[in-house]
Amino acid sequence: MAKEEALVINGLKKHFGHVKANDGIDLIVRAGTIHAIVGENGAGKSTLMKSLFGLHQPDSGEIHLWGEKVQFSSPLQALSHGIGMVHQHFMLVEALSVLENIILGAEPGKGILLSYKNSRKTVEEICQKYGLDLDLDAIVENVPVGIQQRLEIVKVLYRGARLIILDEPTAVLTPQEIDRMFEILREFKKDGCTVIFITHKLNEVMALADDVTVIRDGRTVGHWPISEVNEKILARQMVGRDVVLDLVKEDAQPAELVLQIQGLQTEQVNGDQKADGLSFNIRAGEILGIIGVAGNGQDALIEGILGLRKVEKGEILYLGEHINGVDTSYLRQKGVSCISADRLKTGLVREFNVRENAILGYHTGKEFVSNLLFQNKRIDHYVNQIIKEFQIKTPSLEAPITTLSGGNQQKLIIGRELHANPKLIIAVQPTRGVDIGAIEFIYQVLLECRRQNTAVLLVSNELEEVLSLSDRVAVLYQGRFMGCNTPDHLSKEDIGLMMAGVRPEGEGGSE
Amino acid sequence: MNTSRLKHFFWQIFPSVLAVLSALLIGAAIIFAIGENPLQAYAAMFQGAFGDPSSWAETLQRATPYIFGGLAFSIATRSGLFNIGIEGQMYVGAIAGAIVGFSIHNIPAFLHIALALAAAALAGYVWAIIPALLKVKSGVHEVISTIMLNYVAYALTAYLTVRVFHEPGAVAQTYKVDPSAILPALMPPNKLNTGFIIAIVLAIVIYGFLFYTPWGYNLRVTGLNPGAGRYAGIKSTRIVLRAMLMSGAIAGLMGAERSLGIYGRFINSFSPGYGFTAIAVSLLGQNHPLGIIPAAILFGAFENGASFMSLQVNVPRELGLILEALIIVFIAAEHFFRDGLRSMLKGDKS
Repeated sequence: MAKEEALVINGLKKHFGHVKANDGIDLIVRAGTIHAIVGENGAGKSTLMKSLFGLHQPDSGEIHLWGEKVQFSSPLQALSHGIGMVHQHFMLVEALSVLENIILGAEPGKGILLSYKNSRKTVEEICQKYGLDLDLDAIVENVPVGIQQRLEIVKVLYRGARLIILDEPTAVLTPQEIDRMFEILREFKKDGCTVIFITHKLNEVMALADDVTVIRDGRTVGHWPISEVNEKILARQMVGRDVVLDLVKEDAQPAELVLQIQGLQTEQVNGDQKADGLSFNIRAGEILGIIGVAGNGQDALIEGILGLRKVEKGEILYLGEHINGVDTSYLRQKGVSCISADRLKTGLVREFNVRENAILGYHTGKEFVSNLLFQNKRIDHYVNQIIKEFQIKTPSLEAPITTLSGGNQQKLIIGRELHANPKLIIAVQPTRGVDIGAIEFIYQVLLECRRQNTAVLLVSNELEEVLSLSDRVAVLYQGRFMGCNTPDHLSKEDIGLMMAGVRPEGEGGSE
Repeated sequence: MNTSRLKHFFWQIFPSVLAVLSALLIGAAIIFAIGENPLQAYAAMFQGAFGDPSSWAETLQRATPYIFGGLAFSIATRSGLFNIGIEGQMYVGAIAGAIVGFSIHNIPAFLHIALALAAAALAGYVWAIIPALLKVKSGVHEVISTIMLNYVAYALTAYLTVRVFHEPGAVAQTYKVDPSAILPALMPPNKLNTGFIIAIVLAIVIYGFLFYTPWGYNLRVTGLNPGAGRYAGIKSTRIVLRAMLMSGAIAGLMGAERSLGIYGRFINSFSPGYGFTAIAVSLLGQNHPLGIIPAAILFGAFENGASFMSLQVNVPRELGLILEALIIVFIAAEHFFRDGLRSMLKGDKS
């Protein structure tokens, strides 16, 4: 049996105090296949991979690699056994060149002198073999994310890995880059490498994997050859119940103009992409989706509207009122709310409890304050209300916000931002890092807002999300719109090209 | 719900308690090395600090500047600033209070005291305006500017003491303040004075301000996560500016308590480093207004108890300072205590 299975894991358990991160994981990965591991956030995928990679020690259970029982106490050992890992967050030294990054940690040469010559040759051979195009002398910070990921992969190959683990590799890529990456992975397979692919995107599993293992609540729910499952079955296994991701969406009933933006150009902040002449309108009861690879001016656009970034040129009208340069707090009072892109950076205060976070941005309102003091009874009543209405799972109002799952944190933010009945919602990556159950809920909420005649500006880099929710889609590239149309007039391929800065044939300019 | 609060409280004070215990343990080893019995020495220390009402009074007297200073430091820290200029702000406050104390005559005591305290707070406030503006307008780091202003404060107060308000004699000190400006003693002959009461009231007021008002909320959000504050419409520059000024004003009061309550005048370089030790006190109190009070009393007790102990057993009184220093070391390692131990005990799930 030794040859057949690259990796066998039996009954792996890893508990942190009373948290059972892994509570009986079984995994069989056939040699020379692409094996997908799917599960919701917090299901225990990352913990499993860390045990395998020697980043921490499992409490019980066995790991067999190429038929041999192993237990790694450090990643170095895992590397020497031919396991390579491409992390979700790249582990690169930005100031060094591509080549330097590749050989980092396995520097060739005698004594204290490096020998670049041999390593360059080896790296070039690897690149050629798999058709990976890399400029070895480029400095990493100047290289786009897609290429940085390619670099991570080459790094793993350079170490001689035969079992390659990729943790959520497609999150930062355009559709075309994803396709290219899949080709590379299939190339590995042909070459006899084994690939473990961790994801929560089921369409990718169906497109790429040979086998799939589903993990839920720290346990293996089951594993199947890909031919025996489909997305629906997998979704049900992941969540433990039926999931309706088919959205019921009536025709839009766009009413009055809520937001009008003419030629918006923002100030350059550090190295961030600025908005460079954006124009669009959103009406009440309409969802405008803006899609683009992260870092193409999304932040500038949102912060420009919210008054957080200086507007150099252009006009922003909200319900007919000029709002260039007004205070964010004023906009909030006037019914502009924002579900920001990064929960823990801009949406919540990590050290605060649920109650304190539930009033952030609305904490000066008459509802919560009288005689200069917080009215805790009224605040509690309000927080309990959104906890109920948005089905937020929390042990108490005093619980630190970080004890909630990502999905529940996000629901708290959404509950907070919708509580004041906004007229405009800016939703940025509203489903980033939340589980399927919460995604479904959040989609329903956004559609309900649309029904209630709220204008929604949805900014996302999830293609499916934007296409299925939006009434119109605009593609953002380097601070400009590459095109804007209704979803049924845009193919995924066209959008992918526009996201990469290529204007497809016969496509008009921005609206 | 109550247990979760209790748990939260436990985790909040846990590193501080551990720091104190560790310091006492190492202190015990030192006493042992000298050839004395640690238990005996600590017992003597405790008795010296809390044995009878007069030792209590001395302990609280020594704790008073630490309460003020701890509060000054914590309010800046809560907004994300590191005010290391408390010492300088305290000096200018102390001399401003004294100047009002000896320059105005024949007014009622309560008015005289109020004016002197107001002058002291104002002086500390003004001393904090410079680093606050430098920070907000041009991004100058407050650690640099406040340290430099400490030296300016030493020099300024020395100049005023020796050249302008010098009381004839060999000592570099100003005239005596009028009796009407003296903060009344609470337990004479000890110098413990109403300044202690003011410090306690101030701690409670600041506690309420931080945790029960929208402004305190703004301040905490700005200190913990300015990014989230921005999106919530909180103007961080305004908050930071105000927090620094408040910090300076409290430091000014800290100085006035010494000049009006203890010395009855301004004495050149009177401080053994109150403004710096106060930083340790604030950290030991987890920058919590109500945590600062026991932390300050503990420091007062170390200093007071150590002198009594040195008379009882053959251990030098410097042990008190050693214990303070050890606590500072352990508090500096707080992140290890809190995060390291917490994840060891509770497990970190990533």
